[in-house]
Amino acid sequence: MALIGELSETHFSDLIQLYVTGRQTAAVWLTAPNHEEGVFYVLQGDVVDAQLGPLVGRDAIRRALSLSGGSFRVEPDVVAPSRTIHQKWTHVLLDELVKLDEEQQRLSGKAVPAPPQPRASKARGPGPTPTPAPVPLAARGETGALEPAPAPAMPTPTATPPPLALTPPAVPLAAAPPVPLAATAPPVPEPEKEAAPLFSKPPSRALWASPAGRAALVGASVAVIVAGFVLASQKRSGLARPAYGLAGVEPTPTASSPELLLGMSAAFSGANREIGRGMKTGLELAFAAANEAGGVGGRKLRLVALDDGNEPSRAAPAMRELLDDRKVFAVVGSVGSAGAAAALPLALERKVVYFGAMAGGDVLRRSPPDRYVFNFRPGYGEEAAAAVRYLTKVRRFEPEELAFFGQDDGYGEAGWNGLARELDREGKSAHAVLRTGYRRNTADVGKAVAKIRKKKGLKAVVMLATYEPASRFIQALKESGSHLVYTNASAVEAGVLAERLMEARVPLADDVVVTQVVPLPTSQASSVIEYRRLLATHAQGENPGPLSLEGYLAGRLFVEALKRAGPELSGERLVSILEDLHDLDLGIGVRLGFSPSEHQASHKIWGTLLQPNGTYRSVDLE
Amino acid sequence: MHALRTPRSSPARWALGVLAMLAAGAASAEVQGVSPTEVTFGMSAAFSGTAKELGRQTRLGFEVAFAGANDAGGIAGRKLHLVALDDNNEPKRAVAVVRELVEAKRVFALVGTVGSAAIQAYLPYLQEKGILMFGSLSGADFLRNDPPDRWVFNFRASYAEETEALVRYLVKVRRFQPAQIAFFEQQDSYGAAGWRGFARQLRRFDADPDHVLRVGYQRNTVDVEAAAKKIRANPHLKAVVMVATHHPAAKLIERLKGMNLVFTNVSAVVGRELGDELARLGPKFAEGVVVTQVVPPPTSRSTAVLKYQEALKKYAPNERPDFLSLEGYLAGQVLLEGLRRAGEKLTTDSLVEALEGIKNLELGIGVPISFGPSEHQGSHKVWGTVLDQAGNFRPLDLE
Repeated sequence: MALIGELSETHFSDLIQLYVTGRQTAAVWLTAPNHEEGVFYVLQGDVVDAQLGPLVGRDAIRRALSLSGGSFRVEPDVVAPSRTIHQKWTHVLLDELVKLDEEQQRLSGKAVPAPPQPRASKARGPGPTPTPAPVPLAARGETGALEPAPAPAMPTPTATPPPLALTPPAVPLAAAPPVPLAATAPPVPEPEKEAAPLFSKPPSRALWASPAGRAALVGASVAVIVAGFVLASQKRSGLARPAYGLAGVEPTPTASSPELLLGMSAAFSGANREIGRGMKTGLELAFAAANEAGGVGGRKLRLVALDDGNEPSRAAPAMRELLDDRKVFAVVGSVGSAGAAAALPLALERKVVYFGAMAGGDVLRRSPPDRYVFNFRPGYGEEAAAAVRYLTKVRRFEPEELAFFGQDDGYGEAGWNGLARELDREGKSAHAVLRTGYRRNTADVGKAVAKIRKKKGLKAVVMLATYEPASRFIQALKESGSHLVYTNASAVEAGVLAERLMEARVPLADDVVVTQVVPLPTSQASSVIEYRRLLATHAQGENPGPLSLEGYLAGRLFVEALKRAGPELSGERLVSILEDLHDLDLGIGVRLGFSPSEHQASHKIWGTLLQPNGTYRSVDLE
Repeated sequence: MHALRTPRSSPARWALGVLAMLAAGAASAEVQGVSPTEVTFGMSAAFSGTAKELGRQTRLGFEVAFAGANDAGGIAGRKLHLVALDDNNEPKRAVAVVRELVEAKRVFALVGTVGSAAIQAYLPYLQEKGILMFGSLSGADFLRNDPPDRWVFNFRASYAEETEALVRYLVKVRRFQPAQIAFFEQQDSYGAAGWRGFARQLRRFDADPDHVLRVGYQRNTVDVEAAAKKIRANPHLKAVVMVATHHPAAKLIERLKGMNLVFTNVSAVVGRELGDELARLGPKFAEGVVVTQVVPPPTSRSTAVLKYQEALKKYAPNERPDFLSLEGYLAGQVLLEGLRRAGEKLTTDSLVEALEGIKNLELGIGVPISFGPSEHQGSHKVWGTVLDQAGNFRPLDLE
């Protein structure tokens, strides 16, 4: 679960030390007082990758060490996408503290009262700037990035693209080949060549020479003590996280109780990072509840998450790492249909269960179902069909009054197929429906908007999009004076969509519908109350939302299957247990279950309507 | 897990956590409203004013059910006790009344609450306190969320299910066209719930609810003139589905005399009051007026109703059988089953679990009662009745 806090209370070095001491793996997200964002990956006790605003590698670390304000959020067990820093953390820390000290002395020595701070002075809003920390101008100078930084959405240097030989899908399922990275991704900066020799002058003297350095060293040692206490108390409460010795079902040699290691791959950086974070949070709530109750079959559940940036080209290597290096028992709650298409062949080849992905694509819903693929949620096709039913039955629109707006990949494709199937079922034809779309990872909605504006008599658009293009699309059409009903699938991220539309002051008139595959997170149903209770205990500061609720419910279902499997656990046994799981009532209004011919637990779809105040209320879809 | 904000604050937080756990442990030893010898339930309803009969009869039903159980030694050694307070059917007053029940009378749970608007006003308070509410005399939607609220259990069918049944009856049995049916409603959540079922059923007949004449009146008034005028302006109409209380309902029927319409009502109109009022207007008004019910006729000879009649004779010899007290009695029987299953260790959580475990409970009313984590409404059955000239009802086959 996320640890969140303020850098004014916990210095960056103290924070990192906490994870270094326990030799843990985690990702640390920072937001600096000037709103720059950054991410630092700790891998088994060493910081291996770093990025902050325009800075990468050790420059980013130095900048982070200089911060005395800003906020942080830590997700344990998120593994770095690549390694750009190869030294031990202790070396890096001392080295950078000294450099920082020198920079600051140089600045104060020049006696420039207020050096121009191009970024910090960029007025982001009213009020005093909360940056008392000296901005390490020199650090910027080194990278020559004084001009506005490139968008920080991309993580730092990605690993070298996987050699083709790495993905030999034994099963000819990879119908959707990985989208070439170069087509959509912004240019990736060169990996930083970190070859600086380990420090020739004695570090301690330089450090103690400055008050800041002394404070930092004292802080670091205090942090070690505090960290020890925290770790000890975590162990006491049965929530210890041994950082290595992860080996699937096998009891780990170092851990006091055996572990069951599960893996997920999702975007933890870039525009879709909230989806990955939400799913992971929810899954961990379910696992935490199971672990608190003594584990399942004598094992504690642990989730390791890899960042695939929502890029299919990275999903396959991530899957390889989960299976080969981490040796996870099963893959649970991965995010993204396109990523699933790329990663799935490997899981199928290794006969590893691929459970509860946050993906409604058809690739995970073959008929008959793939033996090792189990879904919690309905497919995007079912969501689109429910939206069409609502538009034709409740709103009473005709097919020629409908348009379609979809992402140009498996997500949009699954939606279009669902739309066509539903109209067919109603004795109508999808030919009359105007089909438009946009490219994944872009928000180029201009063409689609123009097409829709040109067609007369349209009443509604069935949308299979992500929030960025979706909000722009709705905004553009509304600004052009179109009066349409817009239906969105759950993957749009209802909360962010609402935020965007509210920010843009788009007037709402009961015309934005979002279908959901879980109940409203504000529901008073038993399992949703329990979810909120766990969220408040284990993920303070997180608001309830459909993503983490989906992760939680999928996790509950998975835990239930593990319970039934008992101590004798294998992938094959888990498959038989799952296929024999019927009529499980978690109190979400629908019974969950699987069978050999049915690998999707729920077919239920809830309708929600965005109200003018930016919140959703439920709406009858039938 | 990371249940701490920053490392620095962890010891304090840990200590607080321990204290909280100790406090929770101490509190759980004693369950509010439950002693080794007694369980106290609360009820908020109107016991004065025009709606007093609803409160009185519902209370009577629960009291009779409880009396029977108490005479048999109680449940798990505990006698059942009901504290009923008058909320005048005013939402504001109801909030205060329910607070008093929970905080001063320290009741274990609420049963048989009456008045949708009043319940809507205090439900958030109950949810916050985690107090269970069982068997309200309301078919409103907000008590039937999907998925169902943990602490809300219903015995009866919903208003939407009643209007669905009425539309089905008018189209299938009376063979009217959907366009020949008008909708008359109290303009609040009661009417809206009825409209929801009405519209849903019309759509199933592939008819457009937007093409239906929808008229109404304001709650706590009998201003039906505008509605009557609009219906009169549509001579093609054959029937009216009414989601109203008995005063405005009777008034509308009176105003539309001579139009040869079939008037249909849901249970909350209170058939007996409507019948009495129509009979007072003259011999021709009551005849043929349809009222749906959520329990079988109280004169039925079925096992459950016979038991009810016996108990009524024993504990309230001056009362005549009635739909309302029968509903309270039957809901009471289901609650008793839940209490029996919860047994000695009675807490709100154990009662929720016990109730959710009830599957296919045969009370002998023609429909088995089931609950589950995803199902908090025991019965979905709707019965039909029709009034005669004198305002008395007889059974009516709805299908």
